[in-house]
Amino acid sequence: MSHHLFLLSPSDTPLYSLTHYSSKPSQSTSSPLASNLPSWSTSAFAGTLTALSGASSASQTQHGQGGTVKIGGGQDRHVIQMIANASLDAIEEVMRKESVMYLKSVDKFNEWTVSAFVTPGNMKFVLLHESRNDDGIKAFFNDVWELYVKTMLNPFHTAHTPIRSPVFDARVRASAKKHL
Amino acid sequence: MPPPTLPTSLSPHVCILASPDVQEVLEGAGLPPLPEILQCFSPLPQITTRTTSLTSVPHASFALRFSDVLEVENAVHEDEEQRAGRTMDWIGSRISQRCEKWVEMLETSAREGGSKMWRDRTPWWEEVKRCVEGDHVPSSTEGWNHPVSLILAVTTTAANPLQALQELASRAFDFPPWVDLTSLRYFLIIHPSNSPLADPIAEALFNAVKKQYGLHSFLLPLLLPTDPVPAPVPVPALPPRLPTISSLDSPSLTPQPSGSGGDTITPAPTPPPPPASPMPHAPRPPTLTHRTQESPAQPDVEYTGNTLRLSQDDIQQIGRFVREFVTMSLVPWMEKCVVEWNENYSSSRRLPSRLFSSTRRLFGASAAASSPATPTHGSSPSVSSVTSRFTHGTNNSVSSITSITSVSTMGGGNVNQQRRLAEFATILGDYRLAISVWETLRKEGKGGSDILPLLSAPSPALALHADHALSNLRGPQPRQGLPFEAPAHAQYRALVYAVRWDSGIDRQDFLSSTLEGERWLVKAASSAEEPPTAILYAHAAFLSEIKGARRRAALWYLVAAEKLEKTGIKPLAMYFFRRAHELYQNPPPKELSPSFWESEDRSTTQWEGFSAVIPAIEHELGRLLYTTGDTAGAVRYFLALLKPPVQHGPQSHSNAGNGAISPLLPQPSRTKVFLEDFRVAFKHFKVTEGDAWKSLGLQLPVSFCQVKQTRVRFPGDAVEGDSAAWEKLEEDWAVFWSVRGKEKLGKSGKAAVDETFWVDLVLRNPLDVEVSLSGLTVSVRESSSKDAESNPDFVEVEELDDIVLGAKDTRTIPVAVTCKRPASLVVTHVLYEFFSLLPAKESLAVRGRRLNDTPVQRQGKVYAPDVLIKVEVEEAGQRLHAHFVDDRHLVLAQGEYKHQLLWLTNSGTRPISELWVLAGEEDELWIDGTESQEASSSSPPKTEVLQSSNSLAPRSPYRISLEAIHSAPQLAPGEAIQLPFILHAAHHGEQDLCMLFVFRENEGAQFHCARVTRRYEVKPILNVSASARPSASPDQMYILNLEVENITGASNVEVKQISTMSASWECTPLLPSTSVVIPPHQLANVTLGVSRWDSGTDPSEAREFVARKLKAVLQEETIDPSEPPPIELACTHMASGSDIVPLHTPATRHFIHCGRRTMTAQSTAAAHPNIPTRLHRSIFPLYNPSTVDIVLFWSLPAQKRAGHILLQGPMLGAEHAPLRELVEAARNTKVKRSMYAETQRERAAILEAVEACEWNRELDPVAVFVTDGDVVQHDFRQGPCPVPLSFTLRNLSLTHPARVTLKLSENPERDPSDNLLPPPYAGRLVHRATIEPSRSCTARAKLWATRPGCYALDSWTVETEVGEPSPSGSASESAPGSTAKAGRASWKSRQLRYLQRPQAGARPCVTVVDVGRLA
Repeated sequence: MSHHLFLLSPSDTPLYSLTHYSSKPSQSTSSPLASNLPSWSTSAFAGTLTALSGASSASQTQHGQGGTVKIGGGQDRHVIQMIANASLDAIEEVMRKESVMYLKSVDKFNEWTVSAFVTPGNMKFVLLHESRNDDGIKAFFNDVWELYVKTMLNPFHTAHTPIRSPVFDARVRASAKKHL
Repeated sequence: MPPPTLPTSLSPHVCILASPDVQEVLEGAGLPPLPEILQCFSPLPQITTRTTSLTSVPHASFALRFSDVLEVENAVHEDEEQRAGRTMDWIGSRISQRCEKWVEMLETSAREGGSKMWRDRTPWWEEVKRCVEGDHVPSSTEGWNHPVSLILAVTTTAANPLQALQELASRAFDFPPWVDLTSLRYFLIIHPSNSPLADPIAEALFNAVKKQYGLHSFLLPLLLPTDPVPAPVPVPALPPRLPTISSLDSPSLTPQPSGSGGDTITPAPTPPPPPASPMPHAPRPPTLTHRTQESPAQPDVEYTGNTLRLSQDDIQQIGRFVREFVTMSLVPWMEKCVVEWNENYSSSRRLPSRLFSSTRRLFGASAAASSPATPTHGSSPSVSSVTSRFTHGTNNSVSSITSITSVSTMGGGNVNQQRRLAEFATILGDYRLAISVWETLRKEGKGGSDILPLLSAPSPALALHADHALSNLRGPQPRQGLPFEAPAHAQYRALVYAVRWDSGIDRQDFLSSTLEGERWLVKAASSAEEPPTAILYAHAAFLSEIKGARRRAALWYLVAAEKLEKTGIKPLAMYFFRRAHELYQNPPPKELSPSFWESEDRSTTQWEGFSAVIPAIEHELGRLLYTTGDTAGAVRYFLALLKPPVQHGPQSHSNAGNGAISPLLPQPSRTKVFLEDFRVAFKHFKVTEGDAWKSLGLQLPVSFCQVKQTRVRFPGDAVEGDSAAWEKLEEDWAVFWSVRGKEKLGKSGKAAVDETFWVDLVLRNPLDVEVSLSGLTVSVRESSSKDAESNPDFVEVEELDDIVLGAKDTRTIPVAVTCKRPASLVVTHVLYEFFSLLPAKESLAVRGRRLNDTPVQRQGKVYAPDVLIKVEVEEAGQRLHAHFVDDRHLVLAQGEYKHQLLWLTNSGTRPISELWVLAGEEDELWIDGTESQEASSSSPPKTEVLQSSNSLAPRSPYRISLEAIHSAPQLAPGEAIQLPFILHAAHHGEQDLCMLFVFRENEGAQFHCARVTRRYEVKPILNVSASARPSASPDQMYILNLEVENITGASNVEVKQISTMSASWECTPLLPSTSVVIPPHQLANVTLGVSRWDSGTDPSEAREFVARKLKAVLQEETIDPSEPPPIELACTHMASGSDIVPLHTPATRHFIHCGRRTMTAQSTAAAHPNIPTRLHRSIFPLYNPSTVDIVLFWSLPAQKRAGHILLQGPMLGAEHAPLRELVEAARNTKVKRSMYAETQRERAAILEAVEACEWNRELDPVAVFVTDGDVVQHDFRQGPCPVPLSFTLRNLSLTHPARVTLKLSENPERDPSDNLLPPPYAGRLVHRATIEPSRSCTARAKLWATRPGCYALDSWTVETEVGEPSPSGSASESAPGSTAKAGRASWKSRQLRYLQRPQAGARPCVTVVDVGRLA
């Protein structure tokens, strides 16, 4: 299961990117489609049935492996980047409506959910992830924000300077390992 | 809410069963089959229906679908999965056939300013929509295509029309059991004008039919003229139909039934509306509207779907029939059905049944029914057996309905009466009823989610309905992105839904933020790799673009393009890639403050974006172009891709992910792939198209040459030496010569005619792959000629082949240039061929400096003109080549003398008469033509006095007298001389010997210079250290101890001679001197006695000089440039035998002077960092009079090497802060306030440095020596023993007297654990004396030993007070008592007091032995 983080300047220039492969087992949330549906879908027996049929366990193990095999930093890197770029449309729309920093999941594309965080300085942190993990992602974003603010304290760092600091990188990775 | 416009696919499906004679009649009149004729009249205007609550609903257009029963019967037997798969393929093939024309058309229309037609629709989506809408085959999952009505048609030309009708009516239908056969039977008798039956008879026949079959019958009289055939009337095109399997077997892939020509899209620019439309069909679905426009373009085709050869009368007749059929029969019949079924429906909703069902749900008897949204059980066998409870009611259809909720191909159908009710209500516009029934169906999990969005008002719930509809289709599917592809029919149904939503929901509502309909399309498309799904993505992208979400549109276009590429529809894939590229590169403008951009110093249009996107798209485009044969375009794309990869994040591991699993190996470099593609494509292009590539104007997007580091190198330039060192030498020369003459030193940066010089190109490969460059050369032009014509004929430029640069490699490549006549050349460009394929040219111009002179320049960015590399080529008049005769690597021992030979050649055309040489300040060289003059005097004395200028001034350039080393006073052209010199390797480590030769033709001519450099390595062989201690002996004041260690690994070092030099001290060997041979890793000690030497110059002169100069420094006065007075040094040599090297030998003296200068200069610079170095020579002298320098001559006898090491010895004698007054005065002067804190700090630092420097030493001048180790024998039987003791006190100062008080007392801090006895002093315990400089006195004391033992003599203190020297300077030694009085009179204290105790380590003692007891 992988995560892709992008830090975008106010003019949407990527300043930093990170690919993180999570070691945590994917949380077996019920299908997001089902949970989005109105009340009729929440059946008391749905769980029992799926458990009886044995299909869900098979599918879980499958996707535990499959998720990592499919998307890496490899050939479809550009698709990942395109998804992040496309989510900016949604992020801007949500930003117009709400004035919070953590925008939860703003967009979806196939298996990818896009969560975003907008700093008061209009920096956008975009995270592509596969499973829901709102609290972890929020904590992660807050960490990254703090680290970013520390980076910005550097007087030679402008809003367009790509972040190349190894310290920043190491800390973001550590935070990703902790929260994602 | 306005009534929704239903898609045509949701209109009543009317099947026609015609007797064979109908076909005959129509064919005879050149007409298509009956369903197709009737279809042309399809959307009927102004139909009114009634709802169950009897309100009438007006329909502006009421669509119908007509089809042939036989066709439907055939189609319905095909497996649904197979049919769906076939449909998808068929749509794909249609798209791939037409897309090229579409793309061409769109591109031309975009170029010409664009017709409005394609602004809100796209041809591919229209095509998909038509294909999907045209489907009329009943499906097991929904009832829309189940026939609503059955028209049985006969003509009066039949032999027995009634009989024929009878046969038709009794015909059994070959439908699968799940097809709902509840339909209206209608009887149509066509009465053509050429019928054998007369009109009345036909009328009678009609009446008979009416009588027999009821009122749902019609007599249709038609004229059907054949001569002349009526003019064709344009009609709406028929929707394309999926070819049957049999027709697919034919080799032609062209879909037969729809007619290939009819659907080809070549729209006329502004098509007139169809002039004689069969029916006034005003509001029609847009599909049909635009299809009609194509009809005039195809007039010559034999039969098209777009024209009908019918006369106006017939059109009227048929129109009347269709209208009557709908209004009189179909609609009332449907209304009746709705009313009836509604009864059933609402009765089933009444309390008991609801209770019943909810109870069942509560107890889970039927899990299937109760969990409609959990599609996972669709294939579970335990569920499929549960028959539905909805089979009640008077459903006369033959369906065997089971409760399979998800769409599956399990054989059962999903169409029951309730669903038919919903469908009929929808068709009739009874939306309230329809919505409630659909809701019920949905809750029971029997579909309906797909239709509800069409009927309901826009709300967020609709998106969930759509989601639900789609997820039901997919069935149990792992949520995450496995390469799982839904079955074909699920894909197809999703496509059908998407088409319905797109055409059934108002575009504005559909795109609103509540619905976000474009996302529905994407969801419907899912991960399938079929052309229709790709088209779904493309349409979603198109809608997003309309909506303004350009970035999302870019993503979806990209996905669509990639899917299409996989299915091989290249023109459209390319078009989508281009769209994605275009949309991605033009993001929406940012709403940021203009001052943001200003503060960032960036342009608003400058946007970099994600690094991998553009290359990926362009690479795909390039590959597509290459495979479609456009090599030129492909080459262009591939070439543009050759850019260095952009890194975000730290360089080290930007590509690596972290975390537990790193699933991929390090990916291969993208650039490598791009480069390979470029090479292949370009080679192919060159082979196939010859020189056409030249017209493409291909430019390499990377540059290899680091222009700023490019240099021109001349043969005289020593490359190795440090450029700063050379500059220093040239500067030294300029300083030296500026007082002597005005002649300047000609710059060395000129090339000579016929002499090769080099342009050192620094090439850096920015790519992470290996590249090879061939034909690397530079282009040179004369600076006077403005034209860029390269390489005039008098210039020869080297061309280098096959230069391979590794990934990210940097190399310096010299390109040799030779010029044949004097000229001023400009090196303009670098030329090379990239991989021997693409010639490239890089400019060597460097941007000029930024200008800041005028306000305009300051406000903007203005730069001076570009700077080019210029080379002056002159006649080789004055040239000197210098090189070492022996050019091997030199490894020297420290201090070694090395004889070197330098070869000087006049390579110019003029003679040289004046030659100077300069070397670095620390390089010790001795150049002397008269070397062999060493007068070997018979036996040089053991001592000598050396005169020294005592100046720190650096060496001045040395003029080589040509007469001495050459036969003539000048060096003629072509002549060469050898210059011998001795190099003294004083400093260890890697060294560069840089020598600058300055020469000229004659007096008054300009100077020129030549450089030579030699690198050598110096290794230490000896470790020499010296230490001194005061001596108790009256013969000498100090003992100097020299420790020499051989640190070589294997050689014996012989110390041939040790010489000491000092201005105030004279050394004598304490032992007879012998030559010392030190084996490896061994030490030798040499001890010298040091006594005062005062026969030389007064050492105080130097001290006074320093004091005077430092005073000026501290008072911030100008330092006068006077140099210190000369000094005489007493030298003593210790050597075995008479083989003594006198220090005044010129070479030795020179080396010693140089070595000493380097040491003093370094130590002075370190001690006084705030005094400028250039002033040091006029402040500090070379020798401090109190130091003793040691010169150690060594030789390695085995290797015949010899040398000397100069060692700065210790500073001897006590001094008494001679600068104290100066410092005090400076400290106490009124502080001049300065604005600058730094100035204050600097002043304080200077003061501190002066206070701490070696010229201001302060030391306790008195050394105390106690009689140590005496053994006294005493017979204690005769009483206690008085032991005499002597305390010798020596004044080590050379200048100042000292007053001392010696107190003998018990030491209170004595260590009690000490095993020595405390000294019982007796007699006089306090001794006072005044000691003149460098004198000593002895105090006699007594020890009253009462018992034998060892008495420690450590309990005393000496108090010292330093006095000012008496003016008389009497130096008579006298007893302490006598001088005390004389001294007291003139005593003046220097305010320096010291207290001395026995040293911690020293343990002098006296042993008293009891001889009495022994006796």
